[in-house]
Amino acid sequence: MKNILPIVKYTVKENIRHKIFYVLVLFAFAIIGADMLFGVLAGDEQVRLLLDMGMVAIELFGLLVAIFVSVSLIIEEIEAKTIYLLLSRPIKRTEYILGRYFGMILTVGIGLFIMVAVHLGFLLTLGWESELAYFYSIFGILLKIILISTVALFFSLFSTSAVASIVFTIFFWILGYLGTELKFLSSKMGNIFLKTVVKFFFYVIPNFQYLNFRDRYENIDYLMAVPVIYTFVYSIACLILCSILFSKKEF
Amino acid sequence: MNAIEIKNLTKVYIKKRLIRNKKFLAVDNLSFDVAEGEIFGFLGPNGSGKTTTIKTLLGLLYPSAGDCFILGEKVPSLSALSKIGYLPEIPYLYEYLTAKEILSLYGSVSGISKNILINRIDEVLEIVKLKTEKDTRLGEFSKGMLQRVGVAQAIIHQPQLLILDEPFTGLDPLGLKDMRDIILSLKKEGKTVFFSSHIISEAEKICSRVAIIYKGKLLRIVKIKEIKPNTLEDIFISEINSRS
Repeated sequence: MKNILPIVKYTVKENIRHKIFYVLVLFAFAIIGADMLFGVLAGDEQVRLLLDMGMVAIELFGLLVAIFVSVSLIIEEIEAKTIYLLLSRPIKRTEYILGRYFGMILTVGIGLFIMVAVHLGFLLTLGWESELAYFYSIFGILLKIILISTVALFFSLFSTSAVASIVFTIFFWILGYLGTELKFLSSKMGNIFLKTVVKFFFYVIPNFQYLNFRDRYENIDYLMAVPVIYTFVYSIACLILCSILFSKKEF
Repeated sequence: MNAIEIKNLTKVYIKKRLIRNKKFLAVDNLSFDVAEGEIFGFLGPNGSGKTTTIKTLLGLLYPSAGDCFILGEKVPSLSALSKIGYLPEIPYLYEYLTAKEILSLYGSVSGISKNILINRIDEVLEIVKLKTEKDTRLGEFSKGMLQRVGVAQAIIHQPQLLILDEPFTGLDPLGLKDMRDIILSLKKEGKTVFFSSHIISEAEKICSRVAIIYKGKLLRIVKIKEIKPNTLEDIFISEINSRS
């Protein structure tokens, strides 16, 4: 497992030097800036609006960066054939997958940290008093990013097209917010086949509602064990599948 | 012990289609050995199965039948890979990294300790004449410079066996001479060099033996000492023509 660290290092360097990363982070700043502008129009609710819209922007761009970076993580290496030189070294394919994955999580984490620092800077300037709930909400966003990244990585290994992988991941992302609705739908369905399909999706799709602390900002349950364990177990299961798929791949 | 042993290697590519899968026989029951310390040329026209054979030796492809051994170890094997330096036909390198960073990456995943690696990077950059460009990103390098970084990454961990895929392709006369000199100096150090090529004249200059492969089949193994000078190209063409 000693080979994971050098792969993490080059993945972070590669992603940070990639233009798409800057474009997305700058775009997120622009959105936060626009929120400030709307905040001026909102009068007394300026801080509230900046807090809510800023967090939405951070989550949206955090997840978008995670999806794009995760999908291109392996596909780009295969297309550019740079993967030949790494896999012809004495490294296990699982080490390669883990190194790339952790490197990507670290990169997206750095992007998230920068966005949060800017957002916090604006909020504190406007006289906002920091709340623990804010940091829990950001932690929830980080857990969601970890989950969606493993899903994106899995799809990128499953299919050969980056576009198809992005579409599948976004489909999972949207359904991830509809867990309760899927469960309700399956309980109301008479057709066994459809019921099974909907139930299958309910269990397979990552349930973001466990991690959606942002929506429960005023009333956060500070017990983090369930969301953290859920993210951990789901990600490990996904990474095991990624590792199996990757071990059978030929280049 | 042989550096490379290939026994009845067969590789069939299967292109999956909706109705009927399409099969393509890339390597057909190939067998030959490469002795330790020799320079061995693997010659054949484009599409004859050279790169497929090399990728199988490196564990990038899995054989459909047969076995390959590197220094006595059956591939795919991590231990065998630690003894190989590989140069692909086109040096596929990360353009966002600098020459030093990329050598540091390949050196560390090849098991070189950090203290040794720092000096070793300078040594190999000196060999490939790129010491002054060590902090330049590869995206700014010319094709010839990239080829030299490719050589540097292949020798950074001082492997016993060098596998070079078309090392002479696209090089100018000076580049050709440099590459030839590097291969000969590796032989002097006791390394085994196995390279594929369709540039017959270069192979004749430096190899002790060459294998001629066509449509995935081994046609003939030629000992350079046993033929008249400058006749390898004629032998190659007559072998290919006899099977076309």
